Amino acid sequence: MANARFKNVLIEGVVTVVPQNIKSIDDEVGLYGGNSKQIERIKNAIGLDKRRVTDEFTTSLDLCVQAANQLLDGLSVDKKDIEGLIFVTQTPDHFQPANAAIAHGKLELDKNCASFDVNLGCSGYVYGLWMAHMMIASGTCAKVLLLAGDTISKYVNARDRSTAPLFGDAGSATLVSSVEREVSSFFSLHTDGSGAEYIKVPAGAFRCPSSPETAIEVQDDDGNWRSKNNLVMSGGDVFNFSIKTEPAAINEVLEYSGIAMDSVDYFVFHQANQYIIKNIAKRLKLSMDKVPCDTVSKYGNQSSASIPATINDSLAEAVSEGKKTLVLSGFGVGLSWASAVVDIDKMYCPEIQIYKNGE
Amino acid sequence: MKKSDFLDELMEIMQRDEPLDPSDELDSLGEWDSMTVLGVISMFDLEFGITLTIDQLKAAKTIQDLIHLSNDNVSN
Repeated sequence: MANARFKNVLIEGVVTVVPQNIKSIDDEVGLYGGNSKQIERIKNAIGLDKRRVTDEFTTSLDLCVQAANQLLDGLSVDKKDIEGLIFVTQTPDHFQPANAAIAHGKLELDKNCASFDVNLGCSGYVYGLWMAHMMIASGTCAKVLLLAGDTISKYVNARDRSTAPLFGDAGSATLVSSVEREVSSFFSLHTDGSGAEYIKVPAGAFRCPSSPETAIEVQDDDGNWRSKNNLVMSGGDVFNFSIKTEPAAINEVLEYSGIAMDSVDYFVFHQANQYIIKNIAKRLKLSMDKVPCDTVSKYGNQSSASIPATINDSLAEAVSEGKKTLVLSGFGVGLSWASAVVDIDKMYCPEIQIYKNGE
Repeated sequence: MKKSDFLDELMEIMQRDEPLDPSDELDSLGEWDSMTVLGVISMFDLEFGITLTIDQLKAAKTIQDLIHLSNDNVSN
């Protein structure tokens, strides 16, 4: 079992930044052949409505750096105390150097700082938290800055109904620190590479470099258009994976932690879409009061940033007040999934921030 | 599960008010789309413990074909 438990490591604060630009599924009736009834069904059943997407000049890095600056200011952290920086993203500025190194420079952090990227999507936030906890528990770092952000909207083809209306962009920053206080956290991590084809960008790296040929758009059996440079997702397979895997994963991490399901204050799932989250919650017999799921209809599926975005959007007040126990769980591209049970205590958690150009 | 309950559940998945008949051709129903497919997958898993594949559902032509996929879990 890839499980881990930690003591005296605390998530001190979370900030999420979304772009200014709003797109709405109401404006995309053309994608559905003018069928506005189907758009109503999608809104009701899947919860897709509005999403925040970047302009062509703004990247995950920009969103995360703004989030990090606000986080460090808000918590009054001296930048030289940051000894670790993890950047979780699948939409970096470059293949090299790592986003973590560029962010390190922009944030003017101290040279005594371990920095690296993690190439994971929907599960990436929980993986990043686990790594931050390990870096602290091993004695390597006292404070770790976890940046998680993606701009998946740049990967989708505007004429692909299976992805275009779904994805939004966001960047987050989380501070994980060594503390004296009695807090515990538990992690459980999984992979199933046999599902690597389910969510994929076929071209653009070294197996299939981008070329004029990979940019050619073709129509699939369902009438959706995309090129090999675009994200392709097998929605049905991903849905099957999610509703089979997630309930078992939550039960596993709770059993490992010894914490009863009733003692958990909130379950924050990766915001794939409302339908998947409600389906998972139903199987676990969770009260929807404890399962925020509005994020996707306001911002879109934000990949690695969806869990922090949901904490900032739906739980800002609750987590700022006092001690809470949260279950966090991400699942998706890889296939990869990871779940955590964490104690939090008066977290710095402002509401979702809007990106300001040029900062 | 009774056939009438199966049809009711299908109507709910499709968010459809007009009644359904086992002989209905799936492609003739405006609501037979990827969202309905996910709903049917979830229903089969929860109600019958059967994991349907997308290919099985793509091969189905009528509602009767869906009932057939339930392996006798739907009775008259």
